[in-house]
Amino acid sequence: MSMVFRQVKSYLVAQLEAEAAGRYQVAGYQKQVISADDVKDALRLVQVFWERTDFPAASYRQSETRTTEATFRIRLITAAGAEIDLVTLNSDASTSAQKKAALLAISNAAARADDSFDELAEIVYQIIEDATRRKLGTSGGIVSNRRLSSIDKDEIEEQGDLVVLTGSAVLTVRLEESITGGTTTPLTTIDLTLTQEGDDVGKAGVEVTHI
Amino acid sequence: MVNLRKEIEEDLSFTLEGEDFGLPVELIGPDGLKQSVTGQVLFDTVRTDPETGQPVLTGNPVVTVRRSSLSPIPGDTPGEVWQVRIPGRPDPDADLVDYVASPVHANTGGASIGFLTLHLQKASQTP
Repeated sequence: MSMVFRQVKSYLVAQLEAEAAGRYQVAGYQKQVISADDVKDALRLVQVFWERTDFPAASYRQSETRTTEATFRIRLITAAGAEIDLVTLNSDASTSAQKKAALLAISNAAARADDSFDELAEIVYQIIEDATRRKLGTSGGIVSNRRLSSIDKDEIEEQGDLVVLTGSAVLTVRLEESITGGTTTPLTTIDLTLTQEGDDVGKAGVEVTHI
Repeated sequence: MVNLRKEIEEDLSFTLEGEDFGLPVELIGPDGLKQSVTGQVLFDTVRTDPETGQPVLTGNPVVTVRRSSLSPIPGDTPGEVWQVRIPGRPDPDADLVDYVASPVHANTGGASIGFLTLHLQKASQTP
């Protein structure tokens, strides 16, 4: 069984993918080189990855569960070009007045990228903060608290003939991690059953499991 | 005596508009009128990816046209938008692709020797 923070990450990726509906794409890792063309318009990208876990100081024994605070980063990446009435502009039947109006009605790339980013932030916020998902795919009281602590937007950047706008949401999750030990050394069980004279069913004595 | 600026400007008919390297460029200005000229087009730019430090080839069309071949001239009025159509690849017979000369970009170039450089932004049809 993997640690809870990994289960939560998988759950977040799966939920975001399930609700994408062609509005964005999801990557469960930090993609390095991203072409602006690959994240343009509805191809905008949501990257989900575990960033850190804080372990509060506490004395503990082996095999104990520990309350930790895991931080996940949800990176939002959008790109856009300008939008304009090309049908009117490219038509020989259009008058110069119609073409002039089409040029004035341009929706410029920076404005479109900004709108696209805001919409993506809204979608992601609603999915992550949905109260029906508060356990983030875990059972019982493993996840005791989760909150989207911030969403921020970076500076808009030109990449060739497109503009790119990125930002991040930070999700903090308080969860219980179990310490199961390493798997390289198998657990050893020593049978220390003591048989008492006259105990014909062998119930007396103790069994000790040594870890 | 020959004026060198004038001579360089006249040379643009060959260096920018000559059929050896020139490509067709269509511009529609804020007046809604189309101008068809020949200019130079660079399609890509090499930039450094800020995260990886690796060189990345970026689609970044830059068009250079002769000022004296245009009237009106892009950039005469601040904030104006021009539609610019250039071949989709370095072939004068290729289909023209739509761009806009973005209002966020200043036009650059050698104003004193008569050419104008337009940085283009991809344009798509409004829904």
